[in-house]
Amino acid sequence: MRFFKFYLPISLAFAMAILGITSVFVPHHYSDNFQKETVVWFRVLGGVTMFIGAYSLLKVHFNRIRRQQKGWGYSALLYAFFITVITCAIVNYDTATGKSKGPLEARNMATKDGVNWIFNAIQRPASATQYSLLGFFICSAAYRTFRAKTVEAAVLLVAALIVMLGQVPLSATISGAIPWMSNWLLNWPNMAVKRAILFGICVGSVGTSLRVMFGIERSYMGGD
Amino acid sequence: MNRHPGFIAALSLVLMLPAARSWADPSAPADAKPLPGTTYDLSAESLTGLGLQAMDKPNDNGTGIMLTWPRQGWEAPNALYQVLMGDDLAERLDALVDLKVIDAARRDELLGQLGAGPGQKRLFWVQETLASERPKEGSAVAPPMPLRSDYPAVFGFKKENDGYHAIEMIKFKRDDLVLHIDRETNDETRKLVKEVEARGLVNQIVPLGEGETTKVDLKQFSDAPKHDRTYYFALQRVEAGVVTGRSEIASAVPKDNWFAWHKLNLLIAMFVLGIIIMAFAWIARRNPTGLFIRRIGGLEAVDEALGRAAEMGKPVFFCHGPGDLSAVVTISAINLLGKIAERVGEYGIRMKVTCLDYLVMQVSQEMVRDAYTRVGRPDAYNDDDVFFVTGDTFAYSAAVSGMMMREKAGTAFFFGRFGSESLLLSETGAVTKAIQIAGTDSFNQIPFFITTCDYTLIAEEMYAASAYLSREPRLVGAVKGQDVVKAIMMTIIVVGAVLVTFGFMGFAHLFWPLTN
Repeated sequence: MRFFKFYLPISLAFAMAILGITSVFVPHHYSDNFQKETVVWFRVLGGVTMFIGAYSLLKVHFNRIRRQQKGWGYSALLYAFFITVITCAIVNYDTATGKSKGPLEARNMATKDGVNWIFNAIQRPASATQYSLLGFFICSAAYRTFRAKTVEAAVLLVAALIVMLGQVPLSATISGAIPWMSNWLLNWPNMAVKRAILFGICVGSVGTSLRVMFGIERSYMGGD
Repeated sequence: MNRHPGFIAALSLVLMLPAARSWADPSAPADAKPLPGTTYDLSAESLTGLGLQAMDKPNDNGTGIMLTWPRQGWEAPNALYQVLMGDDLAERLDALVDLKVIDAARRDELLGQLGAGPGQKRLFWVQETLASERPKEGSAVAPPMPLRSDYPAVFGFKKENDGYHAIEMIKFKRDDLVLHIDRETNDETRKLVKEVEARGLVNQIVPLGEGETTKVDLKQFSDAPKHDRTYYFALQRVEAGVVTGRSEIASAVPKDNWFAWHKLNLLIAMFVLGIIIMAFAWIARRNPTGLFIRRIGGLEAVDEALGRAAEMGKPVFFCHGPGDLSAVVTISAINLLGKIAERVGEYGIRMKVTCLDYLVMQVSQEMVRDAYTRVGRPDAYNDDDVFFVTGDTFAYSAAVSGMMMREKAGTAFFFGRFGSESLLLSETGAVTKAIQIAGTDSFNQIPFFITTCDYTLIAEEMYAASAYLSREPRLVGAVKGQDVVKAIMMTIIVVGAVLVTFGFMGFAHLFWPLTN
C-alpha cells in the first residue's frame, strides 16, 4: 500500500520532471514528439476529469434542491440550462439550413444553432456585465486605499493621480510634464518592483519544483 | 582512331539529353526571363557573387536552416533580396520570400507610427511569414534585413557580424496542398481564394458541397524543412522590379541535434542552484534548529482568521484561481489547502473549496479528505464542499460571490493564479466583512488583493507558505537555499550592470545563449 501511496507518486513525479527538463536541453525531434505526446495525455486526462467535474457540479446542486437550501432556485436554474444546452448540442439543429445534424456532426461558432444562440444572447452579455462591474469595484477599492491617512497612503494617492491623469489626452494640455511623469512612474519604479517580484517568482518556482521532484514537498500526496 | 559504334551512339544520346528534356518540358522555354516572385530557369542566368552561404541551424530539432551573405554596397530602401529555394537540384528553384532592405532609422520611424518601440523582435517576420503575407508597400512595416548579430546563439558576438545578413528559414510554402473551399460563401472567402490562386500557393482548389464552409488561415500553407533532406538556395537582387544579380546555389541539410549546446550555461546554472537548494535542505535535516525564516504576516494570521470564523459560526471559503495544475503556484495553493484543512478540521468549521479546474478539484478533494483524516475528523469531510463551479472565470466569480453573500463567509482564502476575477471576489468578501487572505504570483492582480484583502502573500511567499506552516526542517532548509540563490543572483546582476556600464561585455555574454 505504501508503494502506491508514496513510492509510485514520487517516482512518477521525479521521472516526469527529469523527462521535462531533458526535453529543454535535447532539441531532437524525439524530444519534440515526447512533448507533443504529453500534451495529448494531459488533454485526455482533462477530458476524463471533465465528467467528474460535471458530476460534482450536478451532485452539489441536486443536494441543494433536495434539501431546499437557501438559494436553491439558482440550482434549479442551473439544471434547466444544463439540460437545455445539452439538448441543443445533441439535436444540433442548424437554422440556416433547417436541418438537424445530430450529436456526432461537428459544429463551430459560425453555425446558427441553439448552443451558439445561448452563448451569444445569454452567456456573453452576462460575462460582459460581470466584467463591467470591475469598473465600480475599482472605484470603491481605490476610495478605501487612497484615503491619505498615512504618509505611504498619501504617496500612493499622488502617484495614482499622476498615472491616471497621464493616461488621458487632457493631461497634456494641462502640462506636458504629467504624461512624462506618468510614463516615468510606470517605466522605472513600477517596472523595477514588477521585475523584483518576477525574480522572486522564478526562483520560488524552481525551488518548489525541486522540492516536489525530490520528494521533500509531499503535501500534495497528503503530507505522508 | 577507331571508336566502337555503341560508344558513339551512347555519347550522342548523352549530348542530346538536355535538348530532349527542354523539348519535353514546354513550361521551360530557353528564352524565359526571370520575374520577381515567379519560378525561372537558373541555367539561363549568369551567376554573380553575392556570397550566399547556407548552413544547418545548430542546436535545433533539424527543421531550421540559416542563410547568410555579406551586406552589399548597392543596398537601398527600394532594393529587394529574393530568396529562392528547391529541394532537389532540378533546374528550377521556387521564389520563397522577398526581403526588403530598409535602414534601422526608417525601421524605428515606421515602428513608432505603429506605436511599437524600437528594436522589437516582431521585425523577424521572415521566420513566420510566407511570401504571400509580406507587408504591402506603404501599408505595413517593411523590416530591415536581419544581421548575423541578431542571432548571437548561432554566430556569436563578433563585431564583423554586423557586416553580414542572416535569415532563418524555418517555414516555406508547401507544394502539395489541395484547398477545399466554398467559393460562394462570403466576400472574405472569395478574397482569400483569389489571393491563394494569385500566389500559386496550392495546386488545386476544390469547391465544397452545398452548405459546407471552412475557414482558412493562410499560415497553414506552410511547412518546415524536413530533417536529413538537402535543400538548395539561391539569392537574387531585384531593383525596381528587375532582377539584376544572382548568387551561386548553396545547399544545407537540416540535422537533428541531441544537445542544445547554446543552453550549456543554463544547465550548469541549474545544477549549481539545485545543489545549493538541496544542500540547505540536507543541512536543515541535520540541524533542524539552526535556521531562521522571517515572519510572514499573512500566514501568521491564518489561525486568527479561522478562529474568528469558528467563533462566529460562519463558513470558510477557499477559492482557487483559474490556474491549472501545470502552474507551480496552483501546486503551492493545494499544499497550503492541506495545511489549512487540518486547522479547519481541528476547529470543526465548515470549509468550502471552489474550483475552476476539474483536475484541481480532484486533487483538492484528496487533500482535504486526507487532512481531515490526519486530525482525526474523517467524518467532517463532505464531497459537496470541494466542488467544481465552472470553467468560465466570470461565471465563477458570479457564482462564488453569490455563495459568499448568501452564506456570509467568515473567512476567505484566495490562493493560486488569478485574473480579473480577483477584484470581483475579494471586493465581495470585503462587503461580507470576512477576513481575507490572498496569495498569488499574478503580479498584475497583487495590487487588487492588497487593496481589498487583510493580508496578501506576494508571489514567492506563496511558495514558502507550505514550509512556513509545517516547519518541516527540510522544507524550511530548501526555502533558505532559495534565499541564498537569490542573493547570488542579485550579486551577479549588480556586478554585471557595473561591468556593462564600463563596456566590459564578456561577463554579460556568459549569461546569453552560447555559440558552438
